[in-house]
Amino acid sequence: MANTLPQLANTSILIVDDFAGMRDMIHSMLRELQQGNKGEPAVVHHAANGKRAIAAMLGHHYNIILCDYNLGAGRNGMQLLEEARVRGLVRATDIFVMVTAENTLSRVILAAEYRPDDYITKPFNKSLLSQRLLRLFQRKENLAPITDLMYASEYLKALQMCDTLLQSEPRNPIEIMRMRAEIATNMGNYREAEKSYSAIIKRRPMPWALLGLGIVYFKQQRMEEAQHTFNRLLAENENYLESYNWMAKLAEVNGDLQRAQQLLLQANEISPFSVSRNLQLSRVAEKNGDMKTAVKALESFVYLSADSIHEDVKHNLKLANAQIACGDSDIALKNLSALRKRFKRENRSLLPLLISEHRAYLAQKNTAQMNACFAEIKESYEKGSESSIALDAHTLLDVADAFFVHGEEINATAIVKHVVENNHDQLALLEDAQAVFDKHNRAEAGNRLIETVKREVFELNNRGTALAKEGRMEESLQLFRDALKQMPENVTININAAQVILMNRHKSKGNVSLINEVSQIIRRIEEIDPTNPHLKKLGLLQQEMNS
Amino acid sequence: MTTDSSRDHFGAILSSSIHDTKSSIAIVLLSLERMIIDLRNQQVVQTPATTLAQLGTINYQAQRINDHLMQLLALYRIEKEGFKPQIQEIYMSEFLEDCTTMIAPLAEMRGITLTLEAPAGLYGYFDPHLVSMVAHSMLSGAIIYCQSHLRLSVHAEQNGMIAIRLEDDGKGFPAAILGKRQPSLEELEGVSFTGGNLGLAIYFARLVAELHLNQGLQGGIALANQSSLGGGIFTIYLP
Repeated sequence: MANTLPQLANTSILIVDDFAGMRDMIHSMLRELQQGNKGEPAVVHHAANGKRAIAAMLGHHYNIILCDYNLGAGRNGMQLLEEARVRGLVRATDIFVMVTAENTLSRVILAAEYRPDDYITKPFNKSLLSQRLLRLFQRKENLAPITDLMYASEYLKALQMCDTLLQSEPRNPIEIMRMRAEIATNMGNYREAEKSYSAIIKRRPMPWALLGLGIVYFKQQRMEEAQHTFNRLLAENENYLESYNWMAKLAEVNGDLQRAQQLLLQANEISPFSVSRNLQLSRVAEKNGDMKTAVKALESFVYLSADSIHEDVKHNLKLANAQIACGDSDIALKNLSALRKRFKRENRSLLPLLISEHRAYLAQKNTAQMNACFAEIKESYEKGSESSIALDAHTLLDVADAFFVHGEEINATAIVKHVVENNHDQLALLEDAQAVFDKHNRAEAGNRLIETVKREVFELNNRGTALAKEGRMEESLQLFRDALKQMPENVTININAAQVILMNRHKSKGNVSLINEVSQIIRRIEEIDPTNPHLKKLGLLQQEMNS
Repeated sequence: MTTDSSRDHFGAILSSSIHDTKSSIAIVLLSLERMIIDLRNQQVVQTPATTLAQLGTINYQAQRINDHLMQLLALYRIEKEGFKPQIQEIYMSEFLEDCTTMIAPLAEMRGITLTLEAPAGLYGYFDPHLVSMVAHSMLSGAIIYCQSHLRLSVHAEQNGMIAIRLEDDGKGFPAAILGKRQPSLEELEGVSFTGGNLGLAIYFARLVAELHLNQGLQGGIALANQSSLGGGIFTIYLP
């Protein structure tokens, strides 16, 4: 059989399989497929597991990845794909083929957010591999006008390109319609996404299209239509578990937390292996005060997310806190002690971990350990406020709580004041701040403090804005600059400072120090509040100033 | 849906050992394929025809082990775990090509002509993994009892169904199961052709077909004789 694949010339290929025999076999097929090819032969690398595959991808860009689903211990092929796509290691123009051993595990796989370009079931021969790769090359070429634009972040043009291609009677209309829907969803253009999903459903009610449509309704706050769509999806595909997650989100929005929890538990009974669902469940259960369920969900999450992009020590701490709330301080302390090593290794501030330990000792009424732990908290806090590591507001409130417990009221109040100054308009956080005072019978003092700070910041912002409106830019800017020294993370003040600078953008063109100052401020806002609606406008004005 | 833990345990063991077994079978098959090609290309010593035939038999039987393993696992998932077909949009001419690629070397060796017929631009909506298993096991049966010609074709039916049809020039299906659109497993017991038992393959085909539902239509299979090639006709209908 004269079976060769000229497209393989000048490419890079990664084979991921835990079985060396299989890797060698695929490698020799690829070699044979290149016999007589013009151009450089493909560079072929091997990886035996997910970790090594990621390491290889970080050092080298591959055009083709052939990855076995089952990779032994650690990540499976789907998790590897997810991580690689999220980290930008696999581009839309690259080919990712999932090699599977069975034909029936697709339930979880097909519903996944990150899909491979193709599946190939073992055993396959050279002809089948060649045929599939050839088709994928052709498909990528057909879709290149769209994916190139996506790669250049030209989403609006990519959307228009989908329409152009759809008019030319393509080989893969549903695929293009799906891309169109996904591009529109990512752009936040839900109307267009809705159009595409509806068109697909009209052709055939594919479950992923119903899910996509439901999500698009949800994002547009069209809750009844969303509910109806998720119901329809479940009626036809009772195992399409993603819809439970979204129905639970709907219930959460409607304030029916019990129903949300029930839906998530129902889905977990069918498949307990979803990372995101367990996290969702833990959050809902916590809100419901059902700490036993929260512990169970967090345990699953920590187990399932190990060695994946979802892994985050934050959730290990949540688990410890939930265990303490359940009265299992011993177990929590054991987990925390193991976690300490990791914190040190990853060079993190120990503060959040110490807070949890402190809480556990308090629950155990172990005064000696509590005092020792508090000394560490103080030390760590002072070190943290010297270095400019921004501590999370909730951690700071926990620190204040510990200071209260040990009778250091002045320090505790100063910490809460700092939190309030930096977050004077975050209502939920202010409630949490108030709760710290309530807990230690200082409700009234707390209320006074919070109201005073709120008023002061509010007046400051008004004064600064008024000065700017009168054209007294320098004075206005100086006011905000001074305020930022005291409350560097206050989003409103940051936005106002940036706006004042940018109001004068035409006059300040070429003023390097102002250009630097505004970009520093905008970066800070992005860090504190990445979804802030003002960011877009500020970015546009900043461009005008720089151009 | 139950969540008996021993069942989960068994499912996991089954799945993981099948994974390993399949890797081994894959290597056996590929090594054989390579060996046959190498032997044929040998210039110095002519390989005896019997050796090639024997290697062909080993290859065929290894494929059957694989098919049976796949069918067993699929049956387990369907009956015990409530597995449902995962519907995808399928471009039919590509699908037929894929179904026959693995079996092509064997057909070539036995001197069997394999014809594919699919109208351009025809799409189907079904679970390609399940249906290709059906196609593969029917093809590997047919390749044994046909004379020299097999035809795999796809048709758009009037009621909106897709029909995938396999015709051969063999002796045809036994009278006992003919005409029954949906033969039961009992009726199929002992339906045997040269080279192996086709009963399970037909049962599996029926099960897969019937799992496919769309707007009140349900899939099914049909067996008949006197195809245009003179032998049996197997058809799977998918809504």
